[in-house]
Amino acid sequence: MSKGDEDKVKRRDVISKLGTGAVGAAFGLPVLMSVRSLVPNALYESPRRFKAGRPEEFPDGPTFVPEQRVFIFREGKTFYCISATCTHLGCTVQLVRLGRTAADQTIEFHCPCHGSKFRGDGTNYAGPAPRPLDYFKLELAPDDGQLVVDMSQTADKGWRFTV
Amino acid sequence: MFSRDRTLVWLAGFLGVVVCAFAVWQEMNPGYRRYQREFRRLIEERFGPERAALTPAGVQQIWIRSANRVDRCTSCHLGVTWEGLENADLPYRTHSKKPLEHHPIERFGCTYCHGGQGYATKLPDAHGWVKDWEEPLLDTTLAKDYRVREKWAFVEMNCNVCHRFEREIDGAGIVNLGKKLIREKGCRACHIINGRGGTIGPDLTWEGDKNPEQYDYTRITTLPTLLAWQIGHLQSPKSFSPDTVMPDFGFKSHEAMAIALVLMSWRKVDIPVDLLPGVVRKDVPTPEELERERTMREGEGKFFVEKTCFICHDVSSLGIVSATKIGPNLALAVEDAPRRFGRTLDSFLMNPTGTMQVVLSKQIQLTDEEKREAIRLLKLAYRKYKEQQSAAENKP
Repeated sequence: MSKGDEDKVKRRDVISKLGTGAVGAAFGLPVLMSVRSLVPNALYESPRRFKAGRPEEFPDGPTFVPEQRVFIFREGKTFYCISATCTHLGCTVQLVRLGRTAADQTIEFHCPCHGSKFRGDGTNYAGPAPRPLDYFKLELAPDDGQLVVDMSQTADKGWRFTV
Repeated sequence: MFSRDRTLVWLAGFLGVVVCAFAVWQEMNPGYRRYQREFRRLIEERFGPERAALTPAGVQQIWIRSANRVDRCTSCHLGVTWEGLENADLPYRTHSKKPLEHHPIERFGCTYCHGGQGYATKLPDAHGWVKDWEEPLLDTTLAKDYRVREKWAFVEMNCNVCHRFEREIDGAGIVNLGKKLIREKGCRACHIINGRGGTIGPDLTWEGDKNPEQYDYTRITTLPTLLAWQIGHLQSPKSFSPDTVMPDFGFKSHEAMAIALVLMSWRKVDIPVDLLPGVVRKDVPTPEELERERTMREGEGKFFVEKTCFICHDVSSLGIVSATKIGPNLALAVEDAPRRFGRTLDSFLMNPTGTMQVVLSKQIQLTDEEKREAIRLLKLAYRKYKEQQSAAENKP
């Protein structure tokens, strides 16, 4: 066999591999793209993270944020955030102050729709609500130092954020 | 060696692969990603790696729920809300504080004020650097193109889309000048604006919505745009529409620009009410303004408005105010005519000489009956003028 024949065999291998690769790419890329298209870059809906204001602007105790339906609590330098969405059918729970004196700051959350009741820490104790109110994670915005509520991340009861 | 055909086939194949690879690469690396990488470097340099790690990635958008509108400008304009980037280069610079106090970006987005295509994620699309684009970005380049002194003149124009019924907009100097001129020059004598005014000229209430294709741009030597037409027309109405009775007010170019910006801002833009708390929602005239407008249109001197005499002449005693004051006050015509022309008012009006001969034969054509009516009214005006004079003298 001459040198030219050896070359011929090798070249055929190379070409067939290239061909397989091209066919693979031709089918594979559209599949990849279709899978990618299932994950949208942007949605027409309220962002799950929102800026609630500067930490120093919050008074001690609970503050209701009506648009996103959360309570933000401040205790000096620590903050936490409880969802105001009832875990039963999604009504907005109401904050009820039980304490009759200034020193007694006991609160509860009552749902006006079906009478579910939650203690001040979000634990459900009456009515149809199946589980406690959600806690959301808080963080500080890197740009202007506002408190950011991240509603896509729930936290454990007792989770606190210290500024 | 390979034949020529084989080389060509190989080259074509290679080119195909390169094109495909480029398309995939471009899809994976949209333009905003480059800005986001650069922004992260900037933040790392200025504020350290901890904050840099928190900079956003991917398409950023502000969704205005009630308008179902998205602005994705913040995908590249990453520093808008950051404190401490006031002196950074665009697109990373902090937005000036004052306008955002009443228009928080989370609620209003960007394009209501700045124009441009909010949903676009590529620079040329978003900024609208495309011929005949409907919503161009109202940036400082545009102001330069039109040689306006105020850098943000065009954004100020957009202020007036929502705040059109307010007498003054805080911080919108050129638009405020336009609004003031429109009030003072008595545009309402001929034009309906916000439902009030005369019918000699066209209704201007939604002037900014008029179709640019309907205009004749042959007179315009600069950019053939509606704004340029408006400016040119305001400065020299007759050269743009030869049959018009609209007078040349002698506007300086920045005054014409100011009025044209206000005219262009009179557009119907669908803005949800929840974005307009505290905005004046209708045109509320002061009683004096109402009275002045009523006198012009319906008072004893309405003849002089209807026949367009008022364009050049005041008739002060009948409450007719000329915007241009080219000619003398007609309240004094009875004693003016003999002094100027050596003839009585009656004889002068019936057979005018000089300028008035030209005007009364070409621009304002009166029948003899109308001329007699004019003489009657001018005598009335003179009597009233004398009465007003003596009343003023007896007062103190």
